[in-house]
Amino acid sequence: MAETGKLEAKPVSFEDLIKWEKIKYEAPELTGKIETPCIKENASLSYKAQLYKGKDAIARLGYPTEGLIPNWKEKFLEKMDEMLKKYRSVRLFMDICVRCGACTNKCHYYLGTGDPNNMPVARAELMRKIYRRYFTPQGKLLGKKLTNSEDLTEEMLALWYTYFYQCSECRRCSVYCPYGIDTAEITMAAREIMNSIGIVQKYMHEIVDKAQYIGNNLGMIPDAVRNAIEFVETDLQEQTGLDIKIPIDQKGAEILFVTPSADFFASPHIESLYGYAKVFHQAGISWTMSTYASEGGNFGLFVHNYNNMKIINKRIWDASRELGVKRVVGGECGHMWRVLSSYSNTLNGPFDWLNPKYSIPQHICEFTLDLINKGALKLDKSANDEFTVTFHDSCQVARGMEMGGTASGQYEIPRAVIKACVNKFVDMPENTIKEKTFCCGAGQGLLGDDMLPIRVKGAMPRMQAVKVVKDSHGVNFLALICAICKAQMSKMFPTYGYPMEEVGGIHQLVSRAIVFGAKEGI
Amino acid sequence: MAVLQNLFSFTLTVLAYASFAIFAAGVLYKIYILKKTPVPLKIPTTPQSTNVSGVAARMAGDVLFFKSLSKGETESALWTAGWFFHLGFFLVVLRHLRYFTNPIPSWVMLVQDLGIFAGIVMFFAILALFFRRYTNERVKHITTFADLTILIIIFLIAATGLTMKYMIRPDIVEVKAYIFSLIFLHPSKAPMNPVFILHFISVMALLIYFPFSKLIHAVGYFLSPTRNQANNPRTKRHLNPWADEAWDKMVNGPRPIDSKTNEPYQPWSQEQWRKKWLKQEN
Ligand code: SF4
Ligand code: SF4
Ligand code: SF4
Repeated sequence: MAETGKLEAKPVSFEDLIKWEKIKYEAPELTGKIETPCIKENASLSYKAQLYKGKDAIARLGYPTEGLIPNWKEKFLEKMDEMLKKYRSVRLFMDICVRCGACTNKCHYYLGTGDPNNMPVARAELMRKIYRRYFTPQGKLLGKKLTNSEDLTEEMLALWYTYFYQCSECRRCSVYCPYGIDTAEITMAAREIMNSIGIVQKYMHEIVDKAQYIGNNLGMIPDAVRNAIEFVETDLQEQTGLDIKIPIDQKGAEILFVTPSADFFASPHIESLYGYAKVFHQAGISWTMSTYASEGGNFGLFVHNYNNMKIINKRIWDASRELGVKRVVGGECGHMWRVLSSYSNTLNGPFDWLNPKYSIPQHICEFTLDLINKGALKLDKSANDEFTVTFHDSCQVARGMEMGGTASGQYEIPRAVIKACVNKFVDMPENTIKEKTFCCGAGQGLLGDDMLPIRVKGAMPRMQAVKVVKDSHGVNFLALICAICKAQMSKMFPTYGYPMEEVGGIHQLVSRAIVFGAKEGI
Repeated sequence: MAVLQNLFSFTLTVLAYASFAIFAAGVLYKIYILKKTPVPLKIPTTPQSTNVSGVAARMAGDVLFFKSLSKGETESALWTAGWFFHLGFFLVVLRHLRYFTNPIPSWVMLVQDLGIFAGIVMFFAILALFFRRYTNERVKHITTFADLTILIIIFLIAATGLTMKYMIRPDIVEVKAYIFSLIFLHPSKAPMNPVFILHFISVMALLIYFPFSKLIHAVGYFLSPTRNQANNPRTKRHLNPWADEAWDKMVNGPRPIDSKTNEPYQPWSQEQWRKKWLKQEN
């Protein structure tokens, strides 16, 4: 007898599993306390990132263009093997986690959502489950139950796509982990594995492509960059009544200055660009920007794809050689600074055409502070008297690399610049700043509008810390040194009920405080 | 009966050698593999010292006092249990040297009492770790079967060890004779004290499991790039051994095709930029 009435379960395709849907979001009530939430299974499972459909661009990045490839399992394991062999971090972090749980409540996405897969260790376990199943003897022999491993299935892949795009690679977990396990490294590898089988996230890869082939994240051709910068220049001259130049492609300048392209347009980013120009003007050092290296940021950092990161980074050093500059200075940007300072030397060094007297490259805060200390900049703190300022340590700067040649210069130097420009400065609670800083919630590829629901949740810890100093000291200006932080915070402040104008860059403060004229020479 | 005992003793002896061999070979192999795997980029977690001695100091702090772990506000229970467990374990191992040395060095004799005390501390620390693993919701969620296995093994080791000290004492002379017979490769008959045998087997289980499990953290920590790299990428060039190979493969690989023109994609090249925009020195 034929079986009747038995409904065939409709097969769910992989595309359905990771489909992006618009989700309503709401900012949680701010209490000033960062509490560890109880586990809420699947709380953020539905927050997906959009997939990239731009076939040409995906091809240019070297990934399959037709979505999930038919023999994906094979390719997946092949790529994972490659990652394990190329990155000791990945291999080691697969092996040594003792699941002590110290990191579990350190991730802002877990604190914001309560989804257990957002605990850093659980995020990494998503990869470890595959690792144990296919790359360890016990996993191959003993089966899934005993080794807590998992077969490679579409469901598993969907979990990967979901939760590896809910990590902003901020490395907060690696501060607290007794072995320094850096979940960001695992996320980067996971993203590259997914890319190699045709699952490419839209926001960040669109940008990686533009930065590689056009030269900046916004995809502006050199003529447009030129126009934009000239526009800023005119604006600046009108504002100040001074002949402040923003030189472009100027051969033989002393300094090549690179900054995220968002600084040309976006608010509050552009205010900092005014600041940079004023500093250079007042210091009287010749400088130039470049239409070839018109981007400081390097989204190539966000996946373990060495070459893509190298190509983007190479533009800066090629331009600096071609322009014959002596120094390279980088503007305010977190991930840009990490790549520029920590990776450049490996990627495209050594830089023997530059002046070794100065660090290669220099951060704009190092540069400005140096001028302040030499007395070459005169700053009028009272110009910023309407502000009580606090500082958000961008995670890629705070946990990225040294500044000023000392282990903790990256905390002190930006603060020193701020303190030179304002009278009222307070720090947020100790567990939310410096090495323990919380990410803004949108870093490393999560800044797309499609990710807004998770961005709002991830910003919660930072916003709680802001609330604390707002209530206790009346803070009304959050100083930032990262383009992503600026974009994210100027969106999150209104979402959480604070005015958008209270967000800005450090050089916005410098720009307001700077006093022109009377130069004492450098 | 005697035949059975002999057979059992033989099995134990084989197991002893096998477990030691697996442990040594496994750990060496793991270190070899990890050392061989390159670290392409500098990724220390800051604040990290810019010089080697500072890095060593940080690592010593991590190893001796679990400094990174102590940074968390909610980890005091874990720190306490974990630190006392590890310290206890270390002292207990030191104490056990008396069974492996002849004559026994005087400092080993000095740590005997401390070692016993450490054994008790270790026992309670294990219970605390157990308790924490299953009462803390988040830790429970991430706990795997392997974590449980290891806890059980070390619990057995500690429990049988203390039992031998305080309740069922084996013939220590016989035990030491057996261990020495193993060391000098002409194994004698194993002591047939059941508690000793359980103790012995659980230690061997730990040794066998060591290289395949998370226990490898004991050596892995020293290879962790977020902890063992100096924070000086700008002043000292770090090299990536596979960089050139990957680069060559890409540069000499097929050029991406633009679907609109069906031609190889033309990016804004340096030449174009040079021709069009580069201003002369003034
Ligand atoms: S803190 Fe480190 S060892 Fe502990 S669970 Fe997290 S990643 Fe694993
Ligand atoms: S790197 Fe940051 S976002 Fe990613 S798991 Fe760790 S704490 Fe969370
Ligand atoms: S945007 Fe800022 S805080 Fe967020 S990840 Fe980047 S550097 Fe960190």
